[in-house]
Order: sequence, then C-alpha cells, then structure tokens
Amino acid sequence: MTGGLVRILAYLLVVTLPVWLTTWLGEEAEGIVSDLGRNFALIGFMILALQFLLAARVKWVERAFGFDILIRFHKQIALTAAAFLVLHPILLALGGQGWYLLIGLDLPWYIWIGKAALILVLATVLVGMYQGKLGLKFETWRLGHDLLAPTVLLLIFIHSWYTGDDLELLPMQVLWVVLLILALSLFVHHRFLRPKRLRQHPFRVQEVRREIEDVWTVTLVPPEGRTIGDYLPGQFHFLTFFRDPALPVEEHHWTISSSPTQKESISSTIKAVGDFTSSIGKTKEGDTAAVHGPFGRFSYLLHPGERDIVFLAGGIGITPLMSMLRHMRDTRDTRKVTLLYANRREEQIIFRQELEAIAAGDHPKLQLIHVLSQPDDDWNGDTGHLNGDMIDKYCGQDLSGRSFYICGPTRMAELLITNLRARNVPDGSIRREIFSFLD
Amino acid sequence: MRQTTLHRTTLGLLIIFICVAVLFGVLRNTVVSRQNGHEEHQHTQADAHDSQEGLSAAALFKDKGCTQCHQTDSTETKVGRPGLQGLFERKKLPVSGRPVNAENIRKQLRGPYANMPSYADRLTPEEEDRIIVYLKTL
Repeated sequence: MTGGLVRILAYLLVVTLPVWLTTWLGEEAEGIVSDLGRNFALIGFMILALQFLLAARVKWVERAFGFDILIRFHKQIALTAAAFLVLHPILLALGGQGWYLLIGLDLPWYIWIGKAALILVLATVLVGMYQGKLGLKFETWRLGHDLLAPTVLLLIFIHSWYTGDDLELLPMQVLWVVLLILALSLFVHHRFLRPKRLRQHPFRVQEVRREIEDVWTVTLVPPEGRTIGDYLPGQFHFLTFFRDPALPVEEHHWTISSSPTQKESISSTIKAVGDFTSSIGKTKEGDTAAVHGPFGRFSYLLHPGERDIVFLAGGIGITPLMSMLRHMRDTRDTRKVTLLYANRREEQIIFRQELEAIAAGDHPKLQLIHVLSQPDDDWNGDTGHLNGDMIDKYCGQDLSGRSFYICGPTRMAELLITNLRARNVPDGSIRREIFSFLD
Repeated sequence: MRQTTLHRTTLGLLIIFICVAVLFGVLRNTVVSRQNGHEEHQHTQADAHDSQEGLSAAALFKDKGCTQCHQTDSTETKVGRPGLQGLFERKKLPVSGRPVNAENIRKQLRGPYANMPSYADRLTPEEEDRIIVYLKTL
C-alpha cells in the first residue's frame, strides 16, 4: 500500500498547490473570510481538473487502488469539490463583496460564467448521485457526463482566469493552463483516441457458450500478431462488442472468468440482466470486440502469503473466484480453499461440473459447499442464505489466519461483511469485489 | 477492506483540504497585513503632499452627493453601497468587479453599474479628474 500512499500524498500536494502558491506570491489579502472562499475555489478547480486523471483508467493510477475503488473516490471527492465551490461565492459575499454578488443581475460576464459553472457542477453531482433513482440509462448518463465535465472545467477556467487576482501571477497561470491541457487531453484520449485504437485491432469471438439459463461465456481470441496481455486471475476488463448492426454497441465491464494460464483465449462469463446484457446471447462466433484491461485488485496473487482462503460467492459473483480457482488448478497450487456458493435453485449453479472436478483434485485443496435458498425437494445440500451461520458451520469458530473473498449481490456482501466483523475478522482479511461502479 | 480505507482516505483528504484553506487564508491575511502596514505609512506621506488638492476635492465629493451613499472611512459594503476607503489599494471595483483604474472610475461615473445613478450630466471632465484623484487618497 506504500504505492497507494505515495499517490495519495501526491494528490494532496497537487490539489493544494494553488493555495501554497497564492499565499506566498499573492500580494493582497481580502480578509480571512474572503480568502477562505478564494482558497475553496482554488481547491475545487484542482479537484475537478484531476477528476479527469482518476476516471481515464490510467494504469499508473489504477494499479495501486483498483478501478472500482478509484471510481468511488472520484464520486466522493466530486461532492467535496461541489461543496467547496458552493461555499466560494457565499464566503466572498460574507467577506465584503455583499449579497449583490449572489442575487444581483447586473454583474460582469465572467461572474455569470462562474454561476453557470456552479449550476452545472451541481447538476453533474446530483445526477451522478441519483442516476439510479432517476431511471437514467447508463449510456445516457455517460453521454451527459461527457458533455458536462469538460464544459464545467472550461467554464471554471474562464471564470477564474478573468475574475481572480491570483490568476495574474505567472506560476498560477502556468499551473492553470497545464492542468486544463492535461485534463482535456486525458479526456480526448480516454473517450476518443484509445477507443478508436482498440476498435482498429479488435479481438474475435471464438465461442459463445450457454452456461445456464441466462448466463453465457464469451471466449475471445486476440487479433493476428498479438497476444493476450498479462492479467491476474480475478481482474476484469471492458468489452465493446461489434455484432449485428441491429444490436447495441456499448462498453461494459466484466470479470475475466478464464485463467491467465490459458494463453490462447480470454473469456468473460456474462449474465443477462440489463438492457444491454440481455442481448449477450445473440453474440455470434466471428463477431468482434474491443478489449480494454485488465483492471482491479481482486486477486489472490496479490496476497501470496495466504494459505487458508474462504471464497464467498453469490450467483454470477462466482466469475472472479472461478478464474482464481482455475489458476490455482493450472499452477498446481496446494493452498486450502473453502468455497461457499449461494444460488436460488440447483439449475442456476454456474460452472458446477468444473467446480466439482477441481474439488475432487488436490490443486487447490478445495472444499465446495453449495447453498440454495429455494431448493427442490430432492436437494440434499445446505439450504437458506449464505450468512454468518454458514461460515460458523464450515470454517469453525476460529477464523484467525483466514482471508475472505466476497463476490455477489450487494446485500449479501454487506451482510457477510457485518457477520465477519462480528466474528473479529480484521478488515485487512476481507476482500470484496464491487461489481457496480454506480452505487 | 478497501472500502473502509477509501472512506477514511476521502474524509481525511476533506479535512486536510479544509484545514489548508483556513490556515492559509489566515496566514495570507497576517503576512499581508504586515505589508499593508508598510504601504499605509507611504500613503500618509502622499496624503500630506496632496492635502491642498485633496481637501477641495473632498468638498466636491460631498457637494455632489457621493457621501450620501459612499463612506470614505470604511471598506464595508452596505446594501450595494460600497465604502471607498483604500479603493485604489484594491484590484477590483467593489460592485462591477472591473479593475481599479481611472478609466473604470470614469466609466462608473458616466454609465454606472448596478444601483448608482449616472453623473454624466452633473460632473465636468475636470471635476471627474478631481474626484478620481481624491479617491486615490482615501
């Protein structure tokens, strides 16, 4: 985590840089309240400019934290920036500019630019927070965000450039221009140039196999002359399928369910749940897909010292764990793994045969337990929900020295985390894959 | 658990950002107030030098009704009526936000921003000049 700490400190320094600069180089103070308002605005601008770096899937940034965590930080820190930017005019008004600044109509154009930017910042943040509740489709939201984010940054840039005394300082002007260029270049690279490049060398769909009723495994092979990049079992990638023109072209992220020991192809196992994924079964052999990855830190390979692992999976959440189990099998790993796998009904168990084959061997030493919540009458295994009681039953009372990998529906995962904490499992031994980037 | 670490990190950063904003806001004011003290000293000398002209302009300033809205011994803005003390030490005019210079004061007198009435017909160019000079002494 030292790599992460270095990056966080760098972030902290960069975000506060304009405050250091203006305090040492700026000439006049306008009173503490006004200057506080000004500092909030400077920090707000820096946070928003760096948002482009956090969201652009830059490997150097992502590697230390995992993209799921990074994108959550992106959302949380956006709230901070929005709060700072809202405080900015209020503090300036309190600090001597007068309330006319807030309610007046006859104001210079660059003040209006600032007001417009503020409204757009709030719109972006609120829509981001309530995207689900608003019933907004991911693609619609993303398009809106793609339009709003650069606009907001540009408006704030213009507003501060013409309004702020501090922007008369050369170092500040340099910082501002560098940040703007960096942010907009990352945006163009992330949203236009890289997708175009990936699209020009797509992977080919080798096989689309139905695992169970609504779950398919799509296997991809790299284009000629290219190999599959290194990835860790448990990581995920972004795929954009190019199929029948009638089918939607959208980018989504899926866990890689194959193991990196398999060099020729790479697979994702996909459940038909949303608008887009419901068309996954219509993908055909010979279709192509742009592949961007790998990302994520949900992998046992990042924790080589763990000898006794408990996998807690629900439904489609088995995919990253399957990738790890396949990797353990192929590398003849001898560690001990307990897999508690929850499903509703027997026919919904994904990878059942392969899991049983792995459990029958010694690599890894896998104890496989299926838990069904709505089993048929002839089911002999465990029934009910995957919870603390199940953990007690199969892992015993002493959980020390074990690490827990959780992947499944949010409610199940949160319940399990509560249960594990109640059993004194330290946070450092609980690993969780968060599928959704939205909640 | 990475999520717990995430929440703590975000909260930590939030607190540090606020501290930096506050501390440096205070620092800037304490450091700069020292510099202002220095400047004030220079102004006193300048005032003494211009006292003759300043005095008669002060009478003009009052005569034309400026003092009904604008205090000359305060920087405070009351209901959109800014006090004009130290006007030329600021970078921006208090309401319009235009840079403080003779040109923009003239603009404000002739075609004013916000609440202030126009003085285009009530001041001669020479009187405008005297008011500008007077404002510099405040």
